[in-house]
Amino acid sequence: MNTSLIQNASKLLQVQLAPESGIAPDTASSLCLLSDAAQMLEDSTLPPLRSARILALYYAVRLAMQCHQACKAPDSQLARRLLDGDYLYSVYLDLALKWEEFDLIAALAPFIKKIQIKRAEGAPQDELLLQGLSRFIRTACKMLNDSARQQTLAAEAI
Amino acid sequence: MKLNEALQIPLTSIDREITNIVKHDPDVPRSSELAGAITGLIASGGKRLRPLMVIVGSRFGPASDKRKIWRLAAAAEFIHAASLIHDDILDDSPLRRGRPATHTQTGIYPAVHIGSYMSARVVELIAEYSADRKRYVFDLSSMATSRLCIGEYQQLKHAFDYDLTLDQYLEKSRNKTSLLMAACLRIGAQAAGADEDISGRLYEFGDKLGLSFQIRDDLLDFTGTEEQLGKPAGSDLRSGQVTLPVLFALEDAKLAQRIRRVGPSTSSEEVDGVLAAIRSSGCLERAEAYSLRLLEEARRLADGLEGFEAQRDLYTLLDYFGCRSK
Repeated sequence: MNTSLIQNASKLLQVQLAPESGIAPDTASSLCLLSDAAQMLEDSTLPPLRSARILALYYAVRLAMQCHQACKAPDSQLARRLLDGDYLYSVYLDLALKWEEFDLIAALAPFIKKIQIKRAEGAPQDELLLQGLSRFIRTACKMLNDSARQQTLAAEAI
Repeated sequence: MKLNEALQIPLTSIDREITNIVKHDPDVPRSSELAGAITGLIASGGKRLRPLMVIVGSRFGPASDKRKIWRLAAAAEFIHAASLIHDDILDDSPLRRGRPATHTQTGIYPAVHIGSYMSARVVELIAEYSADRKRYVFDLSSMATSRLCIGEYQQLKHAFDYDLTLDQYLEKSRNKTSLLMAACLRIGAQAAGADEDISGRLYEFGDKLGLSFQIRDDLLDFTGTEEQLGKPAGSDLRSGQVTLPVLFALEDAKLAQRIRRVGPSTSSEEVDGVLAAIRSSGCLERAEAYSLRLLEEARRLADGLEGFEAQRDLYTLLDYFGCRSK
């Protein structure tokens, strides 16, 4: 797999994180968390910059989930993990709005919500996030192809 | 008279709308621990300041899609309640409004995800009902809590930091409290079609009001009883929070020496002594005066909104927050 998409996504997210947070995702974690999603995006017809942005947003949510997953016992790192998770989720929303990925927010919202419900019930289904992303990518590619087809037809008509 | 009564807003309707957010979620079984924890938290009361502000803000706009406004108001409280669940874990507070906090009832891991569910549910709802893209962006960005998190980071970073500046204190308080209150007034106004200038002025009003509210909250830590506060008096100082009265007290060289000795392992008796010294130093009165100055500035902003019937609601809010009304 081409890792440049993951590197680009990682950089895009990193520069948006406030220095106060001190969050610095490492390369190993990005490869581990993003490889499936990166493959899906590479196989799609979405433009490179948009793919990198979508992957960066997905990364923020995965990292938030990872932080909250570790919030189990009242140890010295609990507050930090909880706060990092909350912050990363809010960064996901802020960035998605900034990059006008409104459909992504709408598409992932029910999946992210269900992940929280399942975790609260003690029966996690974290794979739902990748399923949500996969569905979104399919829809986004279809919209892109439809739009390209319409433009071609319009050009031919002229 | 209670604030909601003075504003002629029935709290029962707000509470019903808030409860409906979880009750009408088809993915949540009614008998689940998650549903029980959320409805229990809502039923435990609270001032509902944020939804009240959304509704007051909406009275400055020409359109009145009541359903939309009430849903937004409920969403604002839902986000606030989510942050309270996480705050109690962050602060290791076993009680909320005199009852066991959510994490005390469910354990930490479920409580973390109940809070996160609440945030995610609001995003899902806003995405569902906002057909208009511009509105959608506005409502969602107002509900996004990144500033709140940054405020928390600043609080963690500056625990027991007696070199905190007034500007840093104000920035942290804005991020933690007043910006969301200001955003509530603004989203109400915008949802009702108020123009940018009016909603901007309401935002500024809410910012000053919220900051004043935070300072009064800081003061309560010195003046309130354990029963009133739901936690031992002086908890802020014990946990390293440098609030406005402490900042003022640090200007006194002798008192500063005693305050700077307070750390995570300082005995309760020593902290009690420092609290008593701050109480008798005149610093509480200075902080109170600072809070009143902010309310006065807010009042001047309210004065500039003559011609709106809802101007009186701003004075009601000022009264509630301790300022004389016009």
